[in-house]
Amino acid sequence: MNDPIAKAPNTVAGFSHIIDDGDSNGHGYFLPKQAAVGLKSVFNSGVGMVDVPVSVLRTALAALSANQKQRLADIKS
Amino acid sequence: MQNLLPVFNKTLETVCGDWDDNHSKKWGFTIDASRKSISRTHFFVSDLLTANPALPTDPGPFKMAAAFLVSGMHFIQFSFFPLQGATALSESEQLVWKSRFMFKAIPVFLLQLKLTETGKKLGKIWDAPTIHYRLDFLNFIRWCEFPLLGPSSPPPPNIPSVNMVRLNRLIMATTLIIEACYYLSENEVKCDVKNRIHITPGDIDDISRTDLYFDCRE
Repeated sequence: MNDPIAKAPNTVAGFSHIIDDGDSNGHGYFLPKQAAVGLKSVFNSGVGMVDVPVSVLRTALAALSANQKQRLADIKS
Repeated sequence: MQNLLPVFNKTLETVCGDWDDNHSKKWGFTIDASRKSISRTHFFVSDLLTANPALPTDPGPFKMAAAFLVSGMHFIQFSFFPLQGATALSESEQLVWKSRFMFKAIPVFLLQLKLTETGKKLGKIWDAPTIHYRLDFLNFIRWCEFPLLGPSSPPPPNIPSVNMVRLNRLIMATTLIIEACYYLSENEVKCDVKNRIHITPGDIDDISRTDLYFDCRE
């Protein structure tokens, strides 16, 4: 096994990366990112937002619901 | 990383609203997702995807969706409100339901994203390609915990640590799952092998059976 990731440290030892958790209580957690070197993805596409009305999103959920119902009906038929 | 908190919020708002309007009476409870916990999830995702040597500096929609799903399973707090006469859900039942709501959140989340490089919107409605896949994927989501203790009050004796190797692998694996499902989505009725499926609803356990039809309207 020559997996550098498997051998990488994954504890807080030696790391100074303390991240606040955003709730302003002064507590936080370690994100020891150095331990993750080696998994690098090769493609960066970036992400942007699309302002989709909630009604359109709800319509999508309704379509999925109907689709699943039909799938189950097919099984039972 | 772009501030995607509005996407996070609208996703949970949509899922909760759809549940309350269309499914709550059948299952006996309404839901709400804590805004503070959604913010915390976004904060964590932003931290996770910033200067993380294992992931690209400007991750695309599928990695973002995976980070949202995995982190959301940890941080997002759903409240369950039993309707009149219904019994309150146990903690383990709440976890099972939480995974279902996060599953429903994926298509809603993706529909609000686009690829920065090309401007291409993710217009297809994400779904699991087969019902067997759906069951396995829901179980996978339930397994997506990662060792992060806290925040808590009073603070724990040691500052909680995230196992980054495990978490990054979880994000990458979930990314590939979500991305593959997206490109398989045809948004038309499709049964695994019609009338020859190896799942008989009467023969599976209660949780899996509910997984199959919890989001079907009457």
